[in-house]
Amino acid sequence: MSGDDRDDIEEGEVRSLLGVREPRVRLPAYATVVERARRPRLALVPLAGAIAAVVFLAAAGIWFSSRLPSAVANPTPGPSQSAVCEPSAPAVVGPLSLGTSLRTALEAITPSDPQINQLRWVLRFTVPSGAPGPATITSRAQITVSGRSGLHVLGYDLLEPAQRALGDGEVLTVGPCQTVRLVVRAGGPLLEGTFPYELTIDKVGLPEGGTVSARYSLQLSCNNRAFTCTPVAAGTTPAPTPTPVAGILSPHFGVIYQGVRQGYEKGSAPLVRREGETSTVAELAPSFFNQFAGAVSPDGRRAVYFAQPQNEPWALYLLDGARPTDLRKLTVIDGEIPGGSLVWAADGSGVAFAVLDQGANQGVTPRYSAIRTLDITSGKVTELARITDGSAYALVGWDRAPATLAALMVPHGAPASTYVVFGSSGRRTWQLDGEYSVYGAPNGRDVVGIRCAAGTGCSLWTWTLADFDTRVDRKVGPGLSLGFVGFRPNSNDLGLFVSSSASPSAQTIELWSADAGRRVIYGPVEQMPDAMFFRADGSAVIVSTRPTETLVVDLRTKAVSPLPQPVPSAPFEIGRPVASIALD
Amino acid sequence: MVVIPIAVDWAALYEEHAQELAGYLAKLLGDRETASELTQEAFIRGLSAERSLREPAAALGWLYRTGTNLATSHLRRRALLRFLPLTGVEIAAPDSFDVEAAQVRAALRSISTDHAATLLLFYDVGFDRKEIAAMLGLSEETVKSRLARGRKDFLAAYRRLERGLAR
Repeated sequence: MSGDDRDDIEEGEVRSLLGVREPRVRLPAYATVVERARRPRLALVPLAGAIAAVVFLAAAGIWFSSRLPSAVANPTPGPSQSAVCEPSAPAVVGPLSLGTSLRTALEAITPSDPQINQLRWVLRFTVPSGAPGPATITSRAQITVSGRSGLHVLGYDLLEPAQRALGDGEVLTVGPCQTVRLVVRAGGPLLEGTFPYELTIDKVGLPEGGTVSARYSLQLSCNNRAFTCTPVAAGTTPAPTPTPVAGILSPHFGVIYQGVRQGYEKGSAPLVRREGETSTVAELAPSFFNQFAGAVSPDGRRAVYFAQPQNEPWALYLLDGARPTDLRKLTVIDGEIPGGSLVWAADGSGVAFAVLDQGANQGVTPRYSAIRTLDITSGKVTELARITDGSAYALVGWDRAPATLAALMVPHGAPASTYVVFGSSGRRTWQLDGEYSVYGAPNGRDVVGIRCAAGTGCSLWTWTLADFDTRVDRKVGPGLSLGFVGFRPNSNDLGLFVSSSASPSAQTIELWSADAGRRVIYGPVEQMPDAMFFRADGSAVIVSTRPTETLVVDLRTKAVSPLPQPVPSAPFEIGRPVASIALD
Repeated sequence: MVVIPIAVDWAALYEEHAQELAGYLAKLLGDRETASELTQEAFIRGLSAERSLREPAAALGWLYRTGTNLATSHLRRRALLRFLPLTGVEIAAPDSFDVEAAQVRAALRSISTDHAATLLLFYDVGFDRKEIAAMLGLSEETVKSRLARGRKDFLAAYRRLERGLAR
């Protein structure tokens, strides 16, 4: 087979894989976009503003580089250059020798401007006066963190001998007794903490002939809030985990964390750790994406979750807090995929889950969606309902005693349209009168719905699981943005994340109940936490304020303690806490 | 002040190309909601950028370039703030469970965004090398090399994922 044949096959395969049909992306009418364009753009949050600025500068860099005269790309020595060829400027890494004569250094990593959130890696290349010829530097770089693909390179600039934008892959010539300084612009910093970074210039042509890569390795300590990175000495001990406040954390409860990376190898899967400890109590069944797709039981002592071990069908597993290391497989859904959330029966005796046919992948409407119930004790699975019109079920709640199970019917690629209840007297449906985010309480009786509209804020509705007609607007007030934290175990309280259009920076986590009204339990906070959930017994709320910081707020005293977390080995290895479970 | 340019028929562009642009961004991002947002944002910027868009024929390329830049920035930010809702009915996203399509997305994500964008623009959207070069401010030679390197990286990543190996 010729090289051309191989290329043709390769091209065909890539075309086929990339040509997978996508479902239509929902877009508003053109008039809506025009209306948005007419609105003032100053309402962007700071982060969005930073992104816009990055995009603008990146685009501007491309524009400038495409219009610069090509002669400028190859600087020639100027008359003012010193006979002492290598500058004495300090360096973060180096000076290093490449080949026999070329000298290079990483001069600085400029703290990024908070408006554009970029890191500028300043590199220097010097060819000594007696070198046999010029060196060539190709402006193409990679930046890895902890040995994995890391910061995204946004562009290149030349600083010396002239200041201008460089094109990707542009070749610079460095003659004898000449210095070239260039900047690699990268997105970042990524995450607070100290990690090994390495910048590589892929292609450097040596004065004596031959081509090498230039590598600059260093430990960087980055602060994502200040948008700065500081080099630190290799081998520096990472910052210690925060010390818990005595009496707030409880080792009787475990925290379930998302897996830290994709794949099936040991250490990737979701984990359970005791509050206040960084060692692992149990590792859950692995799945490629290692997201915890499960639910904790009403009594807080067990959890069920879906996982798909390598080369096996999806299966439903039980995590028992009393025996967390037992991987108990409850049932297998061969030829099917999980269809979203699952719910426990109010008495904890069973779980209900939804499945879709395995063909219901991206771009394909499901052939069917089914609701099944599973009795935890006997393991018996019963199919309760099946729909074949392309919709999918999303479960809301299940009360086994009066045999009531509620779900939403979600048309493919559209918001939920119908609330459906399966009961002893048959099936009842209601057309939804808006886009609700719906949450069923563990008691199998109460349901909360949050509806939000641009301009007016969110409204909070409650109804009983069996009857959508009982819904009541709880009148939480105008101009509020609401996020759902959870139903507080062992109480009638609801946890909400609340911000007001009147004071957008004063965001709080609140408890809400029909009898006691609204009570602030944590805040104000500047931005919505990454994760918020109640401890399994309802005595605390756990708030992940940023990727490396999680706090436990005691709801009786309002005292706050940091939750010690293991230091990740790479900035993207974040095991985000997602749920609490009673361990003993 | 926002000025709606006369020279570019944005309504027609939106009608004919918004869905195609959104589809391209959805594949690049693996996220249809964000693709919708960024498609709208690209049009909003176009509507607001009269001066840089006097040439109607260049508007489509400008939209793709803007969309690509927006997506690149979004992917970078998403690496910082990965979060999937895991409670409540909002988890109902069957895409998350489709391993094969997810492998294509994961393979695209594991190669450089520049290469992924170039591959999609060429093999999926159907632009030719010259059009992509003009759109992204590159030489045709660079586009050609990105396609060659991107193809190899993408297939290698896809095959690693097929075998169940992490990147």
